Amino acid sequence: MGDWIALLRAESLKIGRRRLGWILLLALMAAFVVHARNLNTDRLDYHQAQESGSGRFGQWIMPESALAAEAELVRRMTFPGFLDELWVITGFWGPFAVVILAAIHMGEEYEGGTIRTLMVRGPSRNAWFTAKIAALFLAVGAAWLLLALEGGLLGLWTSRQATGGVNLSAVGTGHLLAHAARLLRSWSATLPYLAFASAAGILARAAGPALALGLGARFAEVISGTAGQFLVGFGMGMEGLGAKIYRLWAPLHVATMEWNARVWSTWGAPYDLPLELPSPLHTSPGLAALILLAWTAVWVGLALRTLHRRDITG
Amino acid sequence: MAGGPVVRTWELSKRFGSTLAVDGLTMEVPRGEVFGFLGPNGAGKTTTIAMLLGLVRPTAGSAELLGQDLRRGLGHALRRTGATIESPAFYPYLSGRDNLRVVARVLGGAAEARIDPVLEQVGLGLRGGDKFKVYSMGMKQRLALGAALLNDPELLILDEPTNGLDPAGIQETRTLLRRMVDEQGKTVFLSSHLLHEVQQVCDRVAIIDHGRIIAQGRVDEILRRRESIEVELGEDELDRAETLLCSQPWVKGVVREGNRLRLGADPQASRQVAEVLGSAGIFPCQLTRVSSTLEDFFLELTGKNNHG
Repeated sequence: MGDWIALLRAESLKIGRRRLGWILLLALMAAFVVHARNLNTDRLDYHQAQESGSGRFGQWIMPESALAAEAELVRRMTFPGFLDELWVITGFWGPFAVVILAAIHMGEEYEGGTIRTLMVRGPSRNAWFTAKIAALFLAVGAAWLLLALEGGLLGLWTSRQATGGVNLSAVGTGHLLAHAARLLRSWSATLPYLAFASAAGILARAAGPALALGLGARFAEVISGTAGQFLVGFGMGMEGLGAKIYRLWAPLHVATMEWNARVWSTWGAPYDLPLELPSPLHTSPGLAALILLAWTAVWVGLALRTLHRRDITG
Repeated sequence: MAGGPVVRTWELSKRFGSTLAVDGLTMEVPRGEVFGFLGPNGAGKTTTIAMLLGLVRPTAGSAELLGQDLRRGLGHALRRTGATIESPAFYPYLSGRDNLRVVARVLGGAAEARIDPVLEQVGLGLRGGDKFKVYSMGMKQRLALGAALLNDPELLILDEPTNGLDPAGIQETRTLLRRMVDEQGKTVFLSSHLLHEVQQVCDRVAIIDHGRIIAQGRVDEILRRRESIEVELGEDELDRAETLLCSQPWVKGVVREGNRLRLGADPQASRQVAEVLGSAGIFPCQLTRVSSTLEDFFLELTGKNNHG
């Protein structure tokens, strides 16, 4: 165990010192700032529509709708409602950042030949890989904590914009505990993505192809959800060739990391799908956790098998 | 195992597709010596080292490193070994010191205390804080050697460790390796193209070509076997001298080169040559003891092999 901890410390040192991780964290933080700013812009838009009947782009908005929309935005911009805005960043953009970090971090071990430098010192390949995943996972946890702190500060600003002041008395211990629990679930939901991108790094043995593989799969699962909605939404009624093909794999959406991460992190209350997917989507957090664990095991197993069977010639 | 060989291979082979990179390699590396592993580019040196270090799996045959069988995993043996393979590979965004810290942690963490002494030992004491990406090739080689020394290994396996080093660096490395063997009883397995260096530092060599060992032995014995005596004579005396010398039992062969005769004989026999010729009234213009180099031997062997 002591050797594994030392490996974990070695990997943590590398992750902490590489610029890429910090750049990705800053990008997520910037996305959070943009998101908060957009909330305020939308609120101003609806506020204006209540008086003039039109929004920013001259679109006509019924004053009653604008009033309701602004009220909802004010709720989201003030505490405790703003706490939930963090999940927009960690839920959608988070996996992209995680995949980029893990794919490059692993692929570069081969590309730069550093895997040789480490493996000739005798660590077990299993221990090395699992320590690497664990170090990445801890780094993501630290990033999620920093994003939560940023959320607290941004909430002070959005509250002030929405109501002219900050009222923290509405945030009870229950809110904070629920927030912490969801933060933990959101963090744990990144584990299969880390395992997948790391496996992609081992399979591809280079950062570029690993990144393409990792991001390609992430886009595929996101599109797998939205494409069906569009097909259904545009009244294609599952009749065209594309729709027929789609019908073959759309049911599998229930097993994607995307859907199960969403179910798990929201504890069975994934945010609404505007249209139904032709998939037996479930909302069981327990099942979601099991599926996420199964994906993690599949990717870790594939990575370890490849790591053991292939010569290290990078 | 205390006095036995530190590396043993039996019919070790590796095939990459249709290319047989290493072909039935059998050798032993004795403890407490510097062992030179020589061969032209593509001869199979690095593949052999990669197999010994567990990076590449042999297609056939087996090997032992510090008594541990390759097929049963080398973890324990590798922790007692220091190694460099191919060009130095470290994390460009980390300093030299942090790169060694990573390696020390992979070794289990105890080696962290040796980082600064090792940086001093390889001449990077003042540059340990600089990022690896700004290092020159020579500094990268020094860092690779430092990483290999971190665990105070019993066995050092070094793949072209002096590539990119300046002459002073090469000499320092040579001195360091020799001292480790002579004073601390360690073993060094060294692959190199720099035959002059190998001749100066190695006790024993193996020469590999096309994946096969074509010669091995102690350096001093190889060189002694190839030493000769050169006799320069007047043209009218050449035939007679050749006949006379050929009849001597201690002369292994005579080759005529212009007005010179090259004798395959122990150089200590120069005096006997002078006496034999003098007693027949032949007086050489010059009598020279010709020493051979490892480079001559290597080129002769690999050249023959390449063309034969």
